[in-house]
Amino acid sequence: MPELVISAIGRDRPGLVEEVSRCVLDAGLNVADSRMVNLRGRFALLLLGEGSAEHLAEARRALSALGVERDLQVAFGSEGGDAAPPAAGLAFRVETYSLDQPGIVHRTSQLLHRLGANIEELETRLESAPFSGDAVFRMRLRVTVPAGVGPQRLRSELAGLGTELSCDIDVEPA
Amino acid sequence: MAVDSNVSPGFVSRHVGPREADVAKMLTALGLSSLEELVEQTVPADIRLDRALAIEPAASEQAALEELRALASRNRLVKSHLGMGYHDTFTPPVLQRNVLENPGWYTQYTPYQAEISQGRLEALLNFQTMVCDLTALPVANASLLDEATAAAEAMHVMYDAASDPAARTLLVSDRCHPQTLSVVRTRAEALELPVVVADPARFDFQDPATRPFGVVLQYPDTDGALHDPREVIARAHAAGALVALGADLLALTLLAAPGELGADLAYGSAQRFGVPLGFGGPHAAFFAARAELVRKLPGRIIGVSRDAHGKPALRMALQTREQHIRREKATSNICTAQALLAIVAGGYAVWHGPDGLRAIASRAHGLTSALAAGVRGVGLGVASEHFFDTLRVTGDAARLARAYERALERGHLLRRYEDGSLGVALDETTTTADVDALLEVFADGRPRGAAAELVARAGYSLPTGLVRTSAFLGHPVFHAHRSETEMLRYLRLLESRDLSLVHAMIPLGSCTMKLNASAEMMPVTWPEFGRLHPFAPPELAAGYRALFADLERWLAEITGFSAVSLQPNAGSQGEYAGLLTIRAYHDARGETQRRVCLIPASAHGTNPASAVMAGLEVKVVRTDARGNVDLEDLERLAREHAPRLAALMITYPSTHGVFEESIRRITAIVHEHGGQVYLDGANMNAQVGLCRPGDYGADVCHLNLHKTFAIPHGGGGPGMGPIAVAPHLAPYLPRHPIAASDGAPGSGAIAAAPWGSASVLVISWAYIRMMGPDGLRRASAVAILAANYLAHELREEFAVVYAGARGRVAHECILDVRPFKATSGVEVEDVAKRLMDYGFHAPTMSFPIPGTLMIEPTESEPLHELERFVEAMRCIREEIRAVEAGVWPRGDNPLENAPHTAQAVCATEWPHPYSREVAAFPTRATRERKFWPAVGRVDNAAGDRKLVCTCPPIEDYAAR
Ligand SMILES: Cc1ncc(COP(=O)(O)O)c(C=O)c1O
Repeated sequence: MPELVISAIGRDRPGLVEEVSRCVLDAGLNVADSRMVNLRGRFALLLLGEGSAEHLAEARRALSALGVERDLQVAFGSEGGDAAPPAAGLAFRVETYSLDQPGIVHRTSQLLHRLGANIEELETRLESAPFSGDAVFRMRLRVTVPAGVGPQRLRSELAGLGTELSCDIDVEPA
Repeated sequence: MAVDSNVSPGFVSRHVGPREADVAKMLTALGLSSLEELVEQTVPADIRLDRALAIEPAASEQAALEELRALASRNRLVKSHLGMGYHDTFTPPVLQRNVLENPGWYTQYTPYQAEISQGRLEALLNFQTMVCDLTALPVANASLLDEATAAAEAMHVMYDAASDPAARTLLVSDRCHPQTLSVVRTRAEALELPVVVADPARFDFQDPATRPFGVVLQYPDTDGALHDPREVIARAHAAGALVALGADLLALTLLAAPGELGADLAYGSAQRFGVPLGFGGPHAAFFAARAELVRKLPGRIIGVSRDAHGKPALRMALQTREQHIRREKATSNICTAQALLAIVAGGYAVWHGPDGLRAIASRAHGLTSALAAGVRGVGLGVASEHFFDTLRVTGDAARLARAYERALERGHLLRRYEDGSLGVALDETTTTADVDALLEVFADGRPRGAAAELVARAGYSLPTGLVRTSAFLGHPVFHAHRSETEMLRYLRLLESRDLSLVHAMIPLGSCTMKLNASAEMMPVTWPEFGRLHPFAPPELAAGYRALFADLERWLAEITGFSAVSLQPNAGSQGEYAGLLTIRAYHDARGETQRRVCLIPASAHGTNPASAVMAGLEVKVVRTDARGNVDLEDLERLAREHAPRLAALMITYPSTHGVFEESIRRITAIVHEHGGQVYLDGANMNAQVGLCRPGDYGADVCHLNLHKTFAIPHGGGGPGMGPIAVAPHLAPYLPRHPIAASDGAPGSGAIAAAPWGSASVLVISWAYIRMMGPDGLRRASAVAILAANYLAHELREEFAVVYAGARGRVAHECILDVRPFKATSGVEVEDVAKRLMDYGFHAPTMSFPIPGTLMIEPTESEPLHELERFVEAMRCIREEIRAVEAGVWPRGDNPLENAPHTAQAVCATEWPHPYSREVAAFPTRATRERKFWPAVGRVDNAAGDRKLVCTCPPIEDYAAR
């Protein structure tokens, strides 16, 4: 079935999710996967919809209109979906914790790339730590690692990176 | 029963801060006519206790001290030669008077607010440096609860770091101290890790059935024998296992260090460095490791960083390892540790320096060598050729049995082994006369050598391969304080950098920083309480036994339970002990599959960390919009996991500072599905005399005696976390291998000593004794009043995040500062640091809700101190407004630049858009009484990027 990736960014306010999701529903789109988040007052949405070509066209039209009306930046993408074969290998959840410092996302993704792993999902959050109040940077990843790499290698490589970057890293089978 | 009627004057009115008239004023502000009315609006009706606690009426300070004197006199003071990691020591008076017995030190909190904690951070860094030097390992923490749990923590580190996941066995040397064996067994069993206790020299490291991930050794052995561990370490390493060496700090001044022998980890007790025996504690355990293992180290690590002005500054490092953040994935559950005792032990090294320590060790060793020669001279044997300060005397059993009794008659307590042989450990306090007395006993009428001559003739009995050749404690701090004047000034200098309860209130939510009254503290260091060995036979500790019996009875009455274990040394350890008790109960009923533990999202980090250590699987229960446990989610989870449900861990009043109305329903849901209810009693200060966990459905709870029951925090410990249980759990409380057991099944030991940190139990005893049932109830009510008063007075400036059904908070309240980030760029940390400029320690930051402040004033703070705090918070709100209005720019205002040091304020350059006076003296109160933060805002990330956890070169200090 044809797919469409929709992104929308704008000032956060109550009711926004409801409006966007109603548009999608009315257009006849089926929501396959989605993420929505409030980034310090800005709303950001990513959504993968499925539907017939007509439904997709209707969704593009309705959401573009909503964007104009509600001051949302809306963008669409449909390229590339089938090209990447489903990654074979083992799935892991990786979580890092550190005091806020640059380079953690980049260095971790670089290492995972070198290992041939695919990042399925990545989420980061900066939060005041309990009791100390320090700004703690957390990153959560879901990764698929080639069977040849194995959990032990993944763990030890990440532990080495953790020492280098001064961050704690947990690895668990997903 | 009325809360505010006719409380006898005396101690209660000394402990409770607000005067009668103040209480009335605070009630009026809240629109209330009595404390009773406040209690009715705060504590749910269906759990309120409708009678007075059945404990003795309050005694005056004088009467309580006299009773304690009488109890003390029932302990029999003898010279202990039991050893096993506990040795008598001479606490340097300069440390006893100026640190151990000094409220400027013992009323401090854990140094989360680094800028007003530089003194103890430096003292703790000295401790770490001492440990690193003596063990020859590069990283150390400060500190752990006791030697036995430190060994168990070593097991966790080794298991975590092991290269081979198939290696699941822990090898523990059969020469380890018995309490270490017991605690390690308990901890390993919960994780289903097999433990082999054996002679490591004969162990087959290659046997695939018992592939070890780690090895625990003792050095010297528990019976004093000295063996070179190098070969065992090499064989362990060849098999891919790590090695932890339990070491004696004093012995290490003469012996090759663990790091030099190849050990990966070293642990042990720092007690004999000036910390009284105290019938078991409190003492600090040390823990050191190879550098690669640093991120796996449990507990707090002090590290060097720099402040906003680029000057060196200390703070707690690598905090993302800990349970506050990583929760069930943390390296350990440890929270409150033994900071004050680590400070004393580090101070002992500062005071004596390397030469002094070596002299103390050499003397003890020389006397031991003389004793060995004398013992051999009267026809008895000494079990090992090489020893440091402990002998095992062998020979005719009847003769040795007689020697044991005669020694005891003469005031010397020996260790009795099962085979009849006798252990004799000497220490810093042993004299030549003592050696003569012991020889007399062993000679049993035979001619014997005189100690003085034997000492003159006796050589060293250390094997050449184990003699220490490396230097230690080279840092100037261990050389510059030989005169008492220097030492006194150094201690005072450190103390002056730290804000404690002697300066101002420390309104830390969840921590209950109440008064630690002098009368409660005084008996702790009385010799009859301070100098007793934890494994002394019961007849020598009759006073302690009576005190424990009182305390157990009172705590059981206060919690509504039937039995109490005084073993746990902190809340975290109480949680662990309580969960093991629950586990043992389920197991005994054949329900060994019950391993799921439900924990609300808002729980303290120790809860999930303890659950994992107890071998339980954590499932998180959601909280609803009002901050309460989401009942639907709880029911769903309880139902879903019913066959495997072991427990719910819940804090009451909640960590949100609210008496949840549905607590009975919550406990009922858990019971309906076969689970037990663990109650985290950290917030007991809102409940004593008003409601009881045992009455509303909990099965077990811990009490942080260092919160509710007046034990001081000591800058991060001591603490005590006894657990109280309902009758059905009583048989499953932790046992101890050395304390007599009544034969009940029980759980294994969870601490090194049978009654934990026994000497500080005296404090809680005195507190309860002097408060009495009415005073305790009044304390709870006034604690609730103070929190509600602050919430009320600050409500226009800051939103109170959660309140109970009738709008009241419990004994603490959470203030929201999150909105200011968007309006002014000011964050919770800025408010906390700015409070320092006003002379306050910040409330609890970001727990349980990120970006908020949790305030707990306690009953001890007088009204004018609450008012001073209100004034500071209102001024801070005005300052935020000024930033919001653009009067001061974002990024350069008194909040974001806080705290302001004297140096910064007096500097020639003053580039800020606000005055120096606004920076340092924003209120009249600060002009009258100013506390200067020692350093500017500490850069935490910088220090974590390059960890330095020992004293930096002296030039760096000069830069300060
Ligand atoms: C709610 C709560 N639970 C548990 C603990 C742990 O207690 P402790 O620090 O004595 O281990 C604390 C305090 O630190 C706490 O506030």
